[in-house]
Amino acid sequence: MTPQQTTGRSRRRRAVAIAVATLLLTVSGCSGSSLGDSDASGEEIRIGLIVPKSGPYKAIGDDQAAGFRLALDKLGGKLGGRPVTVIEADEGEGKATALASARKLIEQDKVLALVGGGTADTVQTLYPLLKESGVPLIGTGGRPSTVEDPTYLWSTSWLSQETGASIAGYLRQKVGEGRVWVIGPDYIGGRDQIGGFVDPFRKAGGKLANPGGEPTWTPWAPAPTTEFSPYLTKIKESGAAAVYTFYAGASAVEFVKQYRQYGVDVPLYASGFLTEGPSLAALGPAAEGIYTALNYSTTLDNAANRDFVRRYTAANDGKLPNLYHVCAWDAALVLDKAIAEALAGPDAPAASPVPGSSTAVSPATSSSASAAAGGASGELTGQSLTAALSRVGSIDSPRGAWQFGPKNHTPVQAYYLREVAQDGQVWVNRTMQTLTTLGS
Amino acid sequence: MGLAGLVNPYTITALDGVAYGLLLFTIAAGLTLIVGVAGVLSMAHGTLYLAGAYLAWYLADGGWAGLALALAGAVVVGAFGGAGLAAAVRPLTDRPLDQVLATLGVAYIAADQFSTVFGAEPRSVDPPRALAGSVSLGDYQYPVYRLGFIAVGVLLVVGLFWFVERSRVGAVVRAVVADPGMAAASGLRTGLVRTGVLVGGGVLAVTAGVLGAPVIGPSPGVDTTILVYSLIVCVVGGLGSIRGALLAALGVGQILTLGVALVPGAAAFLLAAAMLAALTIRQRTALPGRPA
Repeated sequence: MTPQQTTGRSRRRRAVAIAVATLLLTVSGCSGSSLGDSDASGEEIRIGLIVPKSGPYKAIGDDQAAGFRLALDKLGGKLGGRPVTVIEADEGEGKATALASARKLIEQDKVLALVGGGTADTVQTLYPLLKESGVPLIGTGGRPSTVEDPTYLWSTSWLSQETGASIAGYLRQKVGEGRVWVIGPDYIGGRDQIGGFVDPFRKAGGKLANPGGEPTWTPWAPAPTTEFSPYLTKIKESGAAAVYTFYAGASAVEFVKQYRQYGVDVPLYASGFLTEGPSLAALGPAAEGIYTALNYSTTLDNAANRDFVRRYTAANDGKLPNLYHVCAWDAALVLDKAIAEALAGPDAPAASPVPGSSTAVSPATSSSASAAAGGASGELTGQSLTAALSRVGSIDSPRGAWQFGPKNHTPVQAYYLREVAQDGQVWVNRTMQTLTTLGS
Repeated sequence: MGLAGLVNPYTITALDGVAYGLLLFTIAAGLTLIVGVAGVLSMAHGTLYLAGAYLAWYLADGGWAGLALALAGAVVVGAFGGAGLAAAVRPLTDRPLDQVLATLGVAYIAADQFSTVFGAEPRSVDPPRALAGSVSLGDYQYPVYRLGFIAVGVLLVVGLFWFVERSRVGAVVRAVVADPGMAAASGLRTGLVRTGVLVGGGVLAVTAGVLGAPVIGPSPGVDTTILVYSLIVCVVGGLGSIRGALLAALGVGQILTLGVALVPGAAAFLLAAAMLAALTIRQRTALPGRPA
């Protein structure tokens, strides 16, 4: 670049170049990628995959997209026997970007259903649009705890309060007369996670070791806390029998690292996100011995999980999957069943899962789908799919079988106590026991 | 009353505040000179820190060689980064808002590239093995690396002060801060000084990233966090004032640690309240730095 060229023309040219570059970046970020390119419009189904592809939740979005695609691969690129085109879009930070992306998917691409939603914000933002257009969202991530009418919202994830609630009774028994120091980040997700633990823990007669008996909140603005030493030295002094916390991502890494560096020797219990996926990979030995509660662990011993972990590690250089992969994977299983169900017709009896149909969809086993392709029975629309979602029954998930709760449309599922331990070369959350089953 | 009496939760926390403050100073010193001398409010300053932190993560091998290599890399990356920014804003001279926009655009594009190249997950950077553990201070443990960082930070402060306030080049820099017109009229090449300060500030920020990575590790969003803190330090300390930046950085460091420990209930508002107080007092007494 020659700095002398500051004439109006070169400046204009530069502005145009910047504009074009920005446009290209935007377009490449939004462009869809298709799995099946058949153009037979009567056959093919379009699914909109809306996940964070930019911003602070990108890591979650990447995992969700990978999990959904992995399941689709396993299902032979078909859902309910129909070939599927997946159109991806960015939900950004969950507000304007999410709304624009969803509008484009629904109005322009005419998708049958949306899959995704990294954060509760996105679900909240999209909800009016779902009702208005009659397109269901299979939510795979954060989910607001209060949705008045969840008709078009079916989440394969969890409610934020459940994680803490699942371990409250266990920890109450474990500490006996001891007190628990509770600390978490001061934003809505953090308050839900921590509150989910504190309320049932107190109800069971537990007491907090924090000053004033209230949880300690670490600032989230103007920037998330990364300096935990002021809190850690206090925890060390408090004589607490255990610490319960929730952090995710970079904060989780810093919290655990400093917990070790400052020599806090109080047993550490946490919501499973503290040691999930990338956080655990970054922490390794520093996380050893942390107990967490979550609705999944890679070490769960069931056939669906063994198959899932094997497929994922084979496709990802031996890396292990996490909860976000599982929820997106399950979303594909849910859609597979629901689409078959909708095609079978609204008057069909309640779901009767064909045992072999989820591993290989051959014309012989998916009789309902081939019948529908001939136009004999049910019509496939957003409405019929939404109705069919209530009839999908039990989902054979890697986290153990679950089904949608009738009230909130979130999974009724088991929560597990896990301990960070070494398994060969990698660090895993080893399943210790089942804590409880929650969901509604 | 020996060492044991001195070691309590508050002194440990205050020590952390010093380490944190020195880190903030290393980052923000570059920015305050860039704003004061070149007049560029660079929104890409946090990006440079993040580049350094990723550099440290990529080259860390648990030994001194990795750290040395990362520091050498920081000089190169910082120089190129600073020169690149200087080239990007040169056509926009005397249009400060456009410069802010241009550097903001650079920061956005860089953030996108970082998460493409290094992934969106947080990374943990371990210091060289010799500095990795913790030492016992009375009943407490303290990470060795932070003690080391305090030592290096103090050296950096002394070096920077000598450079800006005692050296010949520093005198030129101060002249351009004080009165760019007069400096130019007396034959100083102000354009060159501006570019030089952008390059120097870039090298400082990337170096801070390499050294700070074990304290504030690389992950998406860290660039914004660092930018926010650097801007606070620059504004409170007075643009272009190294002395002011040092005081402000140490102050912010103490607020984020000792302040939080003393008044935990107000942790979220403490920084904002202290900023307000500092700005009000400075307005009345016209202490370090000149008004923007």
